[in-house]
Amino acid sequence: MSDLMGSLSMASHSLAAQQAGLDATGQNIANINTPGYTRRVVEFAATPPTEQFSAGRGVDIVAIRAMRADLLEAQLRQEQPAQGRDAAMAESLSQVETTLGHAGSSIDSGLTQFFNAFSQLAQDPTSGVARQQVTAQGEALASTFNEVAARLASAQRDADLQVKASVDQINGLAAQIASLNAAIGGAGQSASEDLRDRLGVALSALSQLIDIGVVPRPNGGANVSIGNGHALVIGATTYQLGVTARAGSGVADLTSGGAVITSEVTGGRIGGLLRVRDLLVPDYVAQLDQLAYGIATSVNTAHRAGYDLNGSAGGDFFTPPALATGAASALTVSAAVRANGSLIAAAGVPAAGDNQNARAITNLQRTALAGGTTTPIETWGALVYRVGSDSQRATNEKGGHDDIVKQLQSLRDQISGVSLDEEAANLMRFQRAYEANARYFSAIQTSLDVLMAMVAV
Amino acid sequence: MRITFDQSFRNIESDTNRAAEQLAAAQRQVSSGHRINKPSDDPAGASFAVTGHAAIGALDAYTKTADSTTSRLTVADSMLSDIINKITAAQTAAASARGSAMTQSQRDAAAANLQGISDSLLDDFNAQFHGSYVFSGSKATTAPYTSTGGTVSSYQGDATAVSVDLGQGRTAQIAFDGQSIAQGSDPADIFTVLSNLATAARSGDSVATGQGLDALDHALDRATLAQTHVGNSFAALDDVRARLSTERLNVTAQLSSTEDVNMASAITNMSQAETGYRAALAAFGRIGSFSLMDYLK
Repeated sequence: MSDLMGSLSMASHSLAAQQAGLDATGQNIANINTPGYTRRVVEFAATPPTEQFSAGRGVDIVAIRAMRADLLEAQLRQEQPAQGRDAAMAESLSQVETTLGHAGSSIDSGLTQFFNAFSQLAQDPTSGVARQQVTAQGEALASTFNEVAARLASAQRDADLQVKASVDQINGLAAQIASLNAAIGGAGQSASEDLRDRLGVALSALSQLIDIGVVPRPNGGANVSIGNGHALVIGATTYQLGVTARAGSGVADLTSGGAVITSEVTGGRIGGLLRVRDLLVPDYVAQLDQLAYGIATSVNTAHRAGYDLNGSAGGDFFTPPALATGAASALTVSAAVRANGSLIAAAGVPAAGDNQNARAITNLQRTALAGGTTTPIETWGALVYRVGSDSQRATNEKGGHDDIVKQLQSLRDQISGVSLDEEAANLMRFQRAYEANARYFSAIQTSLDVLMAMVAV
Repeated sequence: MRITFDQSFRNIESDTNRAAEQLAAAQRQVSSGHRINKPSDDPAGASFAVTGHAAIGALDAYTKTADSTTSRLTVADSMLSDIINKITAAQTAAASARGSAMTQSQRDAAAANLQGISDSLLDDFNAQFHGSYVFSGSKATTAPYTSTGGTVSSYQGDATAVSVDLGQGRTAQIAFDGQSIAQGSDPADIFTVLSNLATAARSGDSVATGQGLDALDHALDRATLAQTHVGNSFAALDDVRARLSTERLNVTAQLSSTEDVNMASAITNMSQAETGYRAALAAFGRIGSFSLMDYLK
């Protein structure tokens, strides 16, 4: 049989337990807007009786648990790299798109006006104005090519700068994770829950930047690897992601422990940026270069076949590009033609008024380019289509991944998130329990008073 | 299902964002009038627009060529009319010098008349359009015939017919071989014929005058034939211009249906998007405005 003093201590113990419940509710409400916070739940258990014919010794707090959804967190960490990649690609590509300009006011109109200038020249092959017009349109076309090439190069540089910035962010987060790992190892259980919340936030931020492999440590920390299993964080140690300039292009290559791992990184923001920088933009530049090279070569070949105003055989109209690579950024009208319009070879025979060559050059716009199977305009249209569809695909895929991530976040929130209604109910529940326990306490106290009164008599 | 605080805010935030994006896109379509504002709006359409604009550019170039060809042919046509008139006048003058009743002074007058006709014919053959000779073949900067001390040179141009493109596979001739009109397959050109006729008229040589009149007949035939060709070209040019403008209309219509918005549906879309956005905003305002907390005492 328990004595009254024992009951009194049981009542105070129970009051403390309900108080803990109230505290947990307060903590949950306080952290309703804290990123990564997982809802805390106090687990109670009845204290077993210590003697026969006793209902028990009240209530014990077994644990204050954080309602973690480890599986969903892991799934989120797998989805977020794809979301980050598509977001970065959509962002970069929408910038690349604008470099192409609108239909009818970019390289396409430059091409049309260039060929139209030759058509004008065909009407009046001896006209100085028409010759000047051809030179001017050739220069305009060349400078449009130069500009678009420069804008594409700058989009590539932008992506490179962002890659470097992302590497800094990744290293910052890695350092944070390492120090959290160290702290989790040394902390008690309650404190470690908060640290684990922060670890979750850091891992989630990291997974948006780069695809990571996470191996949980027994004490609640996490080891992180990138690429094909290169360590980023092991326990309290960070293996920083490095940057080295690639030979030739000078763009940033990612290194881990001295090895270049750029090609292994495909996910996360950095993966998207690398894809834009190393794969997509170079491809667009190559297509643009091919177009510039094709035009310069086709026009030059036709131009050399004709005769200028003085009856001499024609030279090159554009400065001939040696290679397709870099042709767009280097395209210029040859210095000789620029200086002297009479060197434009409009004639097919050595006669000033002949226009056969001007007509032949005009008709180049309807024939396949040198080294290709499509006309100049079709080649440009194909590039516009390619960039547009890449950008559209990235945006669509980003939308898809956004939805998946949102769905997973909702599922995780159903387990880990704080619901105000629930907390209000808990508040009421613990408040009422506290009141009831206080009443029990006062009942025991009254009983004790009665007992004490007996002793006094 | 537990509905958590964070989740409801996250959902409403992303839904509002999406509604705002849709509204912005709809507004951009209405304000710009374009369905495609960047290639990713419709990659295939954007690529079609590129070829469409180029096609219009090429058609406009053909139209310009047709216009300038018309001006040039107008010059050629009026020169040929003049040439025909002059040849007819020469025939009259030469015929009038024939016959035994003519006095020497009358024959001299006829000869002088023929000489004058020869001089003005030279001007006609040396006609220029924007500084290039029309009857000199491809030697646009060389006068077809020059006169030195009353003697007209031989043909200085060439036989190349200069043409321009008025469409794929359609051409029009813009510079003519002067010799084919002035001489053709005859042994002497019209200037020599006129000079001989003047001599014959002066001396009353009716045999030579008869031969000269025959040669003038041939010249008249050649000039008339050339003018008929020019006339045909005029007719063809009108036809070409009509076709070009129909073609341009077609391409423009296709381009417009690709590039431009259907205003009625764009405006409907915009008001739909606006309603959606308003609803999302209203929902945002109401979220979390009540909970069980309100009922705690």
